Amino acid sequence: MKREEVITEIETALNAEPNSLTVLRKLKEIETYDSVGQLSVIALFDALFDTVIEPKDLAECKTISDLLNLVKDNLS
Amino acid sequence: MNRKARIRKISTFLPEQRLTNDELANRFEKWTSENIFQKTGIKERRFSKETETASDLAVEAAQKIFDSGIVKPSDIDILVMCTQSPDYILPSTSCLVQNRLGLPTTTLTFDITLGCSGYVYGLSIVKSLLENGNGSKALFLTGDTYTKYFHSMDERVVPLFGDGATATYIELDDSKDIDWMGPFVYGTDGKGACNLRIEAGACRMPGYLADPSGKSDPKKSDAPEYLHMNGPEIFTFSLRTVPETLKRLFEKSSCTIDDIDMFVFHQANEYMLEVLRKKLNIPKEKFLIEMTDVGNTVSSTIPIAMERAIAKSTIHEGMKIGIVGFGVGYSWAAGLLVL
Amino acid sequence: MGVLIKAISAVVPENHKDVVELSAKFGETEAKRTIKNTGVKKRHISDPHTTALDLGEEACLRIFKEKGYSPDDFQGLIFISQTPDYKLPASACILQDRLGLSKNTIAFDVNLGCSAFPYGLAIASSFINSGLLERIFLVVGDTLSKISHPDDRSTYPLFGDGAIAVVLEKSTQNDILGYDFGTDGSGWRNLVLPIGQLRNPDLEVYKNFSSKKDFEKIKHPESIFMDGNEIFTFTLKEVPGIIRRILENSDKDKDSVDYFLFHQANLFILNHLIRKAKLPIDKCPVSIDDYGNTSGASPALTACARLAEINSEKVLTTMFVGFGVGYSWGGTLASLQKNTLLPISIYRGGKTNGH
Repeated sequence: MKREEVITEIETALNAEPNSLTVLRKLKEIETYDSVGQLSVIALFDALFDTVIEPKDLAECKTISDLLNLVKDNLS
Repeated sequence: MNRKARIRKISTFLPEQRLTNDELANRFEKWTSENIFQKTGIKERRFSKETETASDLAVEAAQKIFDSGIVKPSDIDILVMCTQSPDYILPSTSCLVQNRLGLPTTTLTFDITLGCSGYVYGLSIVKSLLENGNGSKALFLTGDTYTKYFHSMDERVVPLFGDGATATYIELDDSKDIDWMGPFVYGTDGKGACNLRIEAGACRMPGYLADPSGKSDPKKSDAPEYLHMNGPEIFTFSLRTVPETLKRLFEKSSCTIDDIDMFVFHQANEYMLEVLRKKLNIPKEKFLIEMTDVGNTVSSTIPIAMERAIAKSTIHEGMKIGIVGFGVGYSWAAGLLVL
Repeated sequence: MGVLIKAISAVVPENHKDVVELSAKFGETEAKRTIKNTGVKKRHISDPHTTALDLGEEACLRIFKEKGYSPDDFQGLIFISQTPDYKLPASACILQDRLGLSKNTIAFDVNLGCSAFPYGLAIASSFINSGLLERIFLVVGDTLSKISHPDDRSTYPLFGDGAIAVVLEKSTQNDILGYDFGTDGSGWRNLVLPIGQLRNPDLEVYKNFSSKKDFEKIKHPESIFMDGNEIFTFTLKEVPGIIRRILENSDKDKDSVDYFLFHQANLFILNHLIRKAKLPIDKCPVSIDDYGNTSGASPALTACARLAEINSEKVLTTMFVGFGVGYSWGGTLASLQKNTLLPISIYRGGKTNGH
């Protein structure tokens, strides 16, 4: 899956405006990236890649790019 | 040949700190060291540190089982812990112990919340699970720190109880065509609940109901947050119930006193045990008393007594042992074991 | 030799809280977002004088009434709760007396939460299959509302109170078709109540001795704490395996199961789990919307709330799966004969002193 496609999926999962998220976007600035938003990201990556990410790894992510890195083996 | 559950090893662990009769005589002016011993049969009892819980003691006891080489942690498939002094309201203490001992995540694990009857009940529960396809190697732990539930000036309980833990390794065995454990008989009478209980601190009386004003003095020994015991009621309950329970056990097993090599009763207090022994006509040499330096360790009393007797060769493989646990609940149970 | 499940009843307290109350507390937007995540539109809450034991007693009394049993018909009682009446004695002893069961009754408490129901079935069945008794009550109940902090948005709007009772009976036939169990205590700090028992009897000990690392996320240590992300990932990693193993062990396939009854952890988690396990959504009834997360009682409570009517007409093959606090997990594949499930009922009694 391409990085851009994953970012689009993240936008959907977080109810963010289409094309509003760039790789450098800081997660703490995304209003919907709260406890519910984090569950949505975990669910998304599991649905897309059959990979359950570790909450402690998620907690260390600061940007969209960091999120993508969690599943980098699945990206083309 | 049917595989039946068999006790293969018992180990025990006691905390280091001791409360001696001399210290008690200092605390309670009306007593002397000697008359405490006369009344209770106890010279000293162990108590846990502030940061030491029943799970800490139980993990040590279990580790001794593993250190003996009789079984590896990775082979255990059932873990049951009997405690009324858990680490937390949730999660269960046995889950914490599973983690600390490194038992497999396939282990079937839970706590049972019983006291004086807990060892007998627990053996029976583990036996049932093992013999019905839930595993083949079980660790049954008992552990309590009742001393943490007392007010230091409650003379009814402080001299009697001590802290401790045990681990019993039980496995399925088909080396002989016998039932190593059983039969068991059981009893419950919730009318006796008020005679040994902690009234406040759980859901019937949470803190805000125990003391709506928030002003009561928790230092008073009759405060509902402490464990309270009505000694005379427990005594009469024991005198009424234990003989009748043994009778039921004998009927169920077609045994008599003569067929039993050793009786190990819950070590509640020596005076009561002696009254029971005489009432039941059990000869002294068939009646184990092992509490002088540990006191009443709740569900650990029977396995502590057994482990010490095994170490001294007072009891050994092949002997038939009658065990009876009775007390808090009220709850009681009796059973036969072949070592 | 086998075990039949003769009856399952479920009871919730009368009082309930809903979206109106949540909006007043957290604001409308936040309330809506919480409900969307948890799925809890309504949950039933016990009053200060009603405990899980009271609800459990009512569940047993309903069974006496509807099925015509009397106290003498039972030789055993297991009570599973993490919110018992007392630290000691066991609540099962008190319930034995309140129900008027014989003094020869086998009775004890088990401390388990979300996984209580499958574990309880296994323990109770083992007693029956060992020939120790003919008929036993299994009672599972909790009042998590009493241990949730009103300011904690991750727990307060989620938990509801309730209890279930099951009658298990010795038979030549067998309703219990397969099990799976497990424990992973390394997850203990993700669903924990730090203060109130012997590790941290009070706030002072907690502050002095508890490892900061263990509890750095916890704002209200005297109330239940749950790390939603950790519980979610645990669920995704473990639960599909439970389903697969039970089916393998009982030589059945997914299609032969009529309904999957999951612990009602949270609707978001459940929906994702159902998708991941590739189960048809209409085979996975939900009760969290009307009753909240009712801890160990939830799989059986869901059955009573949603399947009693269909069970009055047909036998159901059901898989009950409980997972969570501990971590502890378990699953059971069971047949529910016709009319095993009683419709859920409301407890209207209020006792001023319990015993």
